[in-house]
Amino acid sequence: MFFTLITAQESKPDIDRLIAEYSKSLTRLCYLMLKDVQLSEEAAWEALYKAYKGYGKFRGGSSEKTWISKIAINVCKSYMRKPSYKEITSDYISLSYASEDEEAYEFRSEESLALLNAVYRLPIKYKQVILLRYYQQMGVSEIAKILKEKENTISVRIKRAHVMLKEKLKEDCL
Amino acid sequence: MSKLDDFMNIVNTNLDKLDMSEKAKLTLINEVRKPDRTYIRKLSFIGISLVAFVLILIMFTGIFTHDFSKAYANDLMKEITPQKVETASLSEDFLKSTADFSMELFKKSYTKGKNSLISPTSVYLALGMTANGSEGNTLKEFETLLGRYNLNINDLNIYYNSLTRELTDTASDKFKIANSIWYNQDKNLDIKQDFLQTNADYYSAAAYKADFNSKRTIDEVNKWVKYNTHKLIDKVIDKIDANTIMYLINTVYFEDEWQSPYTKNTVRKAAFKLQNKTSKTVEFMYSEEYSYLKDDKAQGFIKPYKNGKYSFVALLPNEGVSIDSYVNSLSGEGFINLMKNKSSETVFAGLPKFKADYNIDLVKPLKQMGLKDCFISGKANFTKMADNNAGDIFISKVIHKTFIAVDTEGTKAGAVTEVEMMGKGIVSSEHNITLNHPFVYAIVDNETNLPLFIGTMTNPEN
Repeated sequence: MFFTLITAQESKPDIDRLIAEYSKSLTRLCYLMLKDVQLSEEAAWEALYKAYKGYGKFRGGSSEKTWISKIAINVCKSYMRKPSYKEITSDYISLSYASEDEEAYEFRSEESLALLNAVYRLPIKYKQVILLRYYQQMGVSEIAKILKEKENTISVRIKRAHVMLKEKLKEDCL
Repeated sequence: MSKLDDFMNIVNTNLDKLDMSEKAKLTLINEVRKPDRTYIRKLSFIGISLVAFVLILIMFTGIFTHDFSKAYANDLMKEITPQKVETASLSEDFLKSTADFSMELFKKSYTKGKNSLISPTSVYLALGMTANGSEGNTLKEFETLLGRYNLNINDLNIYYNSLTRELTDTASDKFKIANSIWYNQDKNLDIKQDFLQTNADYYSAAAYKADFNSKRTIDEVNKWVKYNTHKLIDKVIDKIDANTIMYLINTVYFEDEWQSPYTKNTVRKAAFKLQNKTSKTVEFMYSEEYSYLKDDKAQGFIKPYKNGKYSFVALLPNEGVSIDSYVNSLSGEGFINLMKNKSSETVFAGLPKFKADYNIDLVKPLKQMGLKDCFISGKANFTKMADNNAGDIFISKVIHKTFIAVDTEGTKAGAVTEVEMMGKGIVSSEHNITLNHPFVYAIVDNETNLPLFIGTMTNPEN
């Protein structure tokens, strides 16, 4: 709705709040997109900067989180288009960022690592729907809005991504 | 695969320590808390050579009493999702029709002795949207005006959509076109969904239903315009006339840098001859350009913008040809041919720095160009736009506002250096064009040769 846009445009958000709320999830999202720690930090930085500067464009039609995720995804895509960006050849996630918490062990099992690796080896259009759906926990309709696609297209894409993931996980087990 | 439902936990646990560094957070905070300084620094570093914007506002009038309500505006696009529509490569007929319309509008809207500037692009896009609400002879008049070479409204929709995509297909925000439709929430007015849908599909037009009695609506319209012109224009309406039922708005924003920016020592003061035979001293920017233009009444040059997509075109009438008679001699075909016949010759060019704004009601020029019924209550047929139970719908005003600023890099080059730009021994195949008397200029899309902005500079204000 238009009026939200205007009100929001006048009041700048609190940058400390944006950082507290989103810096982790954005850096991780970007890491899963870009496979590079330094680039993911840069991308998250740029996404937050753009979100702050362009807060007036936030229409309130979606949640703030959805809107900022969209910015981050676009930043990542622009990084990937740069000639200097060569997809990192290593397919595997570094464990050096894993939690040392004993209780978190279940989520550090080989199986879950294999899943992460499989996700970020997906082609970009499948990877982004999986990340938005399962990491950012968005609904199909929200994802459809972000990616400017029909909901049906997104549902189909998620299903196809599932199939591809299964295949990748099978390959890894062999 | 059931693990996917725990994906968030899996990611967070496995990437637990991955976060933006404290240093990065700090620089981010510092960066956003010094917005003005950053902006100025960026400006002086990048430099903006040219900024231009235009706005066209078409105002519809109906006759009825108002329904007082507290709601302000609803974004109607919630129910309207723009559909993907076909695009087409721009046909010869479309380019000819559009060039003709552009030049004809320029000739009819040109004010003698004034710095005139219009954006035909803005006007035909707004008229295209409007035409989608018309039927019968009203529609026919729109089609004849905009699609002279046998194009109907469906063709025009497809071509305008394709042209907009072509023009705005840049990585940056430097060429921006925005459209919106605002209409009164009066219960007597029943807007047609198809009209909004078509304009959403082909013109990406946003639609807002608003309380035209509320001062807040005035603010919202003005803010929409301000936002889409990057704050270059902050007010387009002061009040809403009691009978106004709809505004149809288009904005075009353009900002680019020269491919070869002027340096400080290429700026010198020199005389510009005004129409009243007196002259004034203004700052000229001198450069060497490599595309020379010539027809039987004028000569000129093309100066490219940075990304190579658009060009600045300057045309200086020959001695003895007045600016009025030169403007009068222009035609769409003539302009396209002039651009096509450019030759790769060196031009030593002098361009005055200038700023100009222009403001015109286009009703009269458009009437002269054949658009008649749409302005007359009782004759205008906008039945595809809305049903108005309380009276007829017709166009009451077509406001066009433009602004342009042309300079080196936004820096003040007040200190004049004694550098001879012209060099020695200029050979005969080179041309020397200093725009030191009234001239025509345009910002042109290199792909189609269509003028996106076109104006006359008769009295440069630096």
